[in-house]
Amino acid sequence: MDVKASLLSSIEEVLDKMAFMFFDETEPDEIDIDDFAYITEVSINGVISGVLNILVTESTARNIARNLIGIRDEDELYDDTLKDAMQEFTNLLSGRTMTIINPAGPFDMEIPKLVEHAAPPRNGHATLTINGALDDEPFRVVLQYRETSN
Amino acid sequence: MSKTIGLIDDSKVMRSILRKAILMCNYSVSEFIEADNGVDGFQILTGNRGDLDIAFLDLHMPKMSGLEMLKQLKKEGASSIPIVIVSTSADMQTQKTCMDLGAVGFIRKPFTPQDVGSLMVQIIGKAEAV
Repeated sequence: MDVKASLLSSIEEVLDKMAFMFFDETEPDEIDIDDFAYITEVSINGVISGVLNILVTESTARNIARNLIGIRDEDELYDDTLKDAMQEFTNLLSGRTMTIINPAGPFDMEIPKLVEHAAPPRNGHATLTINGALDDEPFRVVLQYRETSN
Repeated sequence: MSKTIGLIDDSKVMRSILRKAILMCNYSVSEFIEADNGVDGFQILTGNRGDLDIAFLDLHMPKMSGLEMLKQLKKEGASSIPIVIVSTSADMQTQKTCMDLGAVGFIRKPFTPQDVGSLMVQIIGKAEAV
């Protein structure tokens, strides 16, 4: 089971198909944690279980929301809409990751939420961090997971 | 001829994405009838039975899930509207269950407008040139 390849593939596919954005993987030292304005979190349970966080800048969150929904640059983007869009983006990315890891298997996910901080390290879980750039803005996905018997 | 389309999904953003995708495929839409939970969605599907040309249905919703709704529609013989399931779950068993309960199509998230358009052509025919 190649979880990293599955997560990377999911990030690229969701951004390309739904938000018309292209992801470049970068080195962690190119990213400053203070740059991130929004953090989303979702718990997953299937062939792997754990928690996934997505960290984005203000600018990236706005671009993802506008592109997902189809709002023009000149139209107002309300905070609630932006938050809903980030939650849906997290739902899409985590769901797609689970189906790539195990195409035939069922899985459960909680409703994604916005949080102040990424989940603390979990005992017995592997941590996978993907760092990248979207339109030169930093972007990070952190998956803490353990394989299950599902 | 303009279409009336049902969008049943608890995510306002996903309903917007579907609206955008359908309009990008050049369908003329007279009305989108929307619900953000299964109970209201069931009312739409049963109350507007003759009006809706197609409905897009999420599986995971509050109050009544998409699967429960399909079961109820089949039980009441109210499944004449073509229903397309939109879900991140793509396992074959889920798809088969939905089809057995009367769904006519399945779109896996993430999708492109072309994915939506291709399925709509199969189910309700091509968009007419305006």
